[in-house]
Amino acid sequence: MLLKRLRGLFSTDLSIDLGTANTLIYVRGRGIVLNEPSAVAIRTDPGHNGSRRIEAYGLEAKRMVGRTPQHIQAVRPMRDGVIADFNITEKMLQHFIKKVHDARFFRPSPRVLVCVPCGATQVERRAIRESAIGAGARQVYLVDEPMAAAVGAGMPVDEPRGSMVLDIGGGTSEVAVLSLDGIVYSASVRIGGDRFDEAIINYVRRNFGALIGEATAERIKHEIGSAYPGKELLEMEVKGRNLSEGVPRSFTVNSNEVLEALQEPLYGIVAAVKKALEQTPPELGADVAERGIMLTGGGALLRDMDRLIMEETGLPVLIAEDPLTCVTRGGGRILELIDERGRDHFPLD
Amino acid sequence: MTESETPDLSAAPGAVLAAERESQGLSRQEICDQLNFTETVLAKLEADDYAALPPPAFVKGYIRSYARYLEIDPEPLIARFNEANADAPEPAVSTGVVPPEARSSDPLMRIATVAVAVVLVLALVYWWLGNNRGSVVDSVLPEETPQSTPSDAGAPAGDDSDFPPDSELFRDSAGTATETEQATVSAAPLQSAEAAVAAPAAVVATSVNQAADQSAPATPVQAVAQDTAEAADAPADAGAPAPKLSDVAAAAADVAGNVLLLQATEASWVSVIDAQQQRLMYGMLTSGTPRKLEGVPPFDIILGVGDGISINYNGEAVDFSSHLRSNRTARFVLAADGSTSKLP
Repeated sequence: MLLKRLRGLFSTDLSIDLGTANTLIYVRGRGIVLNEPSAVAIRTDPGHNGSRRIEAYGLEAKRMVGRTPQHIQAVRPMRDGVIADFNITEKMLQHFIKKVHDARFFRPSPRVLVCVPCGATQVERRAIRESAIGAGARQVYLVDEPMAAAVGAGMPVDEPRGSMVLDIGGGTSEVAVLSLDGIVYSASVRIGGDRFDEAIINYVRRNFGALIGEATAERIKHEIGSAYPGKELLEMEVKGRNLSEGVPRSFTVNSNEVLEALQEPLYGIVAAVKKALEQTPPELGADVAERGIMLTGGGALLRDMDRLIMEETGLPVLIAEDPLTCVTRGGGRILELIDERGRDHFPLD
Repeated sequence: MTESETPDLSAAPGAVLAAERESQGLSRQEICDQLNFTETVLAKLEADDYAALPPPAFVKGYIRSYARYLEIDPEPLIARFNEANADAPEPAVSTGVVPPEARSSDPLMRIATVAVAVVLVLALVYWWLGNNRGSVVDSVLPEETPQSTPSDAGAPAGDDSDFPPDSELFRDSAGTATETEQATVSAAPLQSAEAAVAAPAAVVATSVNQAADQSAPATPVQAVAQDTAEAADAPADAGAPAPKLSDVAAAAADVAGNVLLLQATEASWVSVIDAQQQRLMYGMLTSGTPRKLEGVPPFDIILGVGDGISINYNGEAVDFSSHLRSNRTARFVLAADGSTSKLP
């Protein structure tokens, strides 16, 4: 414990958005210093009784997804916003924490704030906490993602007025109404960027009789994906394995087809927002109606996502500045507020 | 909207948006219907009356939404808004400068770390040396302790030639002879009728009255007397016989009780335990560094190099040659009367 405190003198406080798709780390006073995919490549050594060792982390590992030989496995240790593989998550966190403490004499032992989905169970929260401690953190705070997202988006969460935030991440979408530094209502649905990719893969297999990988589906989503019918039709040439012929074939997908593919997950999110509005106390609901819903997370970058929510709810929908990093920046700001106002100021685990 | 119709983005964001809306022939109501804004919000936004609008995070969202609907780039407008509201408080976003934390890679931190490490090492060495001395009383003695007998104490005045008055230079073992004058006496053989001690030694002695006999030959003695006053009296009296070295040892023994003097001509490991099981010495005795030990007899003595050590007990040389083993070690019990027996 003493050694950890000593090492803590040489460590910086971190806010970590341990996301399903990406892990972002915010360092106090330095900003976002790491933004890498939550992916790890594991090599199995045939000569050493099948012992496993980490081959690559982050971006390098993500490039290997779907392109690995038999003895290398590229995995994403987070699923639906929570830990799917405890040991690999711990190793990945350890690597990232060490990476942001470059050129350090001591092994870093920082205070860490980790943002977790508000729908995470106690078991899932404990797994995240222990993973962070195992990665070297001397103190771990857990904060609900919608709170961090709202703070990171610059919403006045400390005011006695309702603020609604919708954070669409890689594994989950979180919707919450906040007031007076607390969460009045929150809900989490296990729908996010990953579900969008899956929906595209399934659509292509069903309608084009072709098999595409996760990376290709993600590329389709980024380039021509949209949540609301647009004025122009975008097209993209895609290569996939034809299921009947068994050979790679090229075909063209357009934005309307992608929109059709995304209908189911999109309406899952819309339903969660509508339910949140129904459950919000009327005074806070009026505040939300006047000011609007703030969109954060990578899902906010899907074309016309704000338009879809706007049409479905009849409320103004605003996209936050730099929506991808809102949660992490908000976590960093909460760390500062803990020092300024005390730990009890925010609902932390 | 065409490229040539790019609005003047240097104006206030609200004005730019209002001008663009009008140029596209859209009414405020149409914008409100499309973006779900209230008429009030839109009017204040176009009038750049930000004070009446929600916090900046929302205003930027309105500008972004409105600009995208009008198909103009929102970023220059956001930048203009940020410039105009640079001093506006952003309640939830960090603007404070966090003082940088100490990094171990900083040169100052490295120097401080090394300095702390050096201080720790020095402290450790100091402690070890201090601990190693144990109960040994600091004393400075000749390289070879004189083999004196009790009869030496009453030696006739005729032996005085061997011990010139100014050669008996004493110093309090605690170093209290501050009023004395230090003199360095050159090395020379010391011959005694009772014990032949002939070894050159560097001598640091203290003379109360060195001038009393400047012509006397220098004697190779490095001696310390327990009683400075007693020692100082002797050389002060130029006519009186100077005490012999054995006298000094005997005097020391008288004062301290049961005193063992150990001296090595060869470095040796030594263990001395007295009757009260006090470990008087347990460690290396280096050549040229005599040790004076005080304790309650009998003493259990173990010597690593028995033939390299001489022992005086209360001024008498201890003969333990019968306990010397072939491997040069010696293990014996030294009784109160100076006799030795085998260590059980």
